[in-house]
Amino acid sequence: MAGTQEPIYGASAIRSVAEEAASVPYTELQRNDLVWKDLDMTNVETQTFYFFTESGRLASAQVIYNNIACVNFPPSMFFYVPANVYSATADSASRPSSTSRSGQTTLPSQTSGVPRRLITPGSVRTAPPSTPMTAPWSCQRTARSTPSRALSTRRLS
Amino acid sequence: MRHAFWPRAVVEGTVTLEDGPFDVKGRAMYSYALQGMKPHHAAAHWNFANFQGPNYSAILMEFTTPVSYGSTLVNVGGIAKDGEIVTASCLNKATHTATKQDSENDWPEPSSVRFEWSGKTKDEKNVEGTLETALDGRIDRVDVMAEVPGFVKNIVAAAAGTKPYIYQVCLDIMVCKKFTELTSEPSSTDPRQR
Repeated sequence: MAGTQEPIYGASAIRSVAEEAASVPYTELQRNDLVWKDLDMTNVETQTFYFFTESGRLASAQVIYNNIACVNFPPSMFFYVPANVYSATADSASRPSSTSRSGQTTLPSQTSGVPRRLITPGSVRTAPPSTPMTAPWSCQRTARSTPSRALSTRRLS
Repeated sequence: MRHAFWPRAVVEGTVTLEDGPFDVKGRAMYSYALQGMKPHHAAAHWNFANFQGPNYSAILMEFTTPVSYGSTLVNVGGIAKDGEIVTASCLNKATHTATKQDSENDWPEPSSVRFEWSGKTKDEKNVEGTLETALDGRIDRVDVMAEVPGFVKNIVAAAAGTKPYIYQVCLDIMVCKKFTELTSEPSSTDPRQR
């Protein structure tokens, strides 16, 4: 896939969003603008939170769902702290892994040598109900209802 | 290609990592992207800006398509404050005001940038914002094809010019940068926000 060249379609083959924005510059998001589209065609769908913590650290949490030529890949979830990547995929339970400790499983290292760690449901904690997060969805519930629950609805049979 | 952004949010909680709990309390930004095509055929260059300040947040995403789509430039960005969007438009601009050659991949790595936002508020007032800074805090240079075998990467680079890298910089620009909001009255300028 990488390295394949496309024919020259020309500028007329792209319809820039700037055309619509000339009359309607932006719209405010509603809840159903943010649901997963789960399209039946080659696409990558991803939702990402970028965090700028009070302690000065950066982090991001991302779920990616790939569909390449109608083959659905299990969705991947990444928690990224610069210089370290922690990731999990829905089928990671079936991959060989080292023994778990306190409910967490270490996935085998990738070739880049970056250690990856399965982020288990219990390991993602959120603020208590009395201090709701202001985020696009009720993030508190979503995070606590665990990545694996969100991912399991995507499992291919 | 479809993108949705929530430019300004707060977050609380911890994520448990290998080396213990990671406290994420602070500010946040959210993006949702859907690319219905092979990503390297959608865009050849990207610029992203994400500014989170006590009063304002500003985000900008600009990409240029490959030659196959006429090297078309698309820019999307906006400014938000607590509880509302100040403006959002496709009239913004990302400029590399200075670059230095990256000796490892031969790309001109930006060493200073200017991001400019331009749009209208809900009541049709003009808004402009500018962020200009030297990039002396590169936190990451990501070789997007790092896991592809070296000889394949070289073939691809030679045949199609595909040699994707991401430069990621994070700066604390609260101290010396300005972000001004102009109203439509030429004689008045809002006080600078940090």
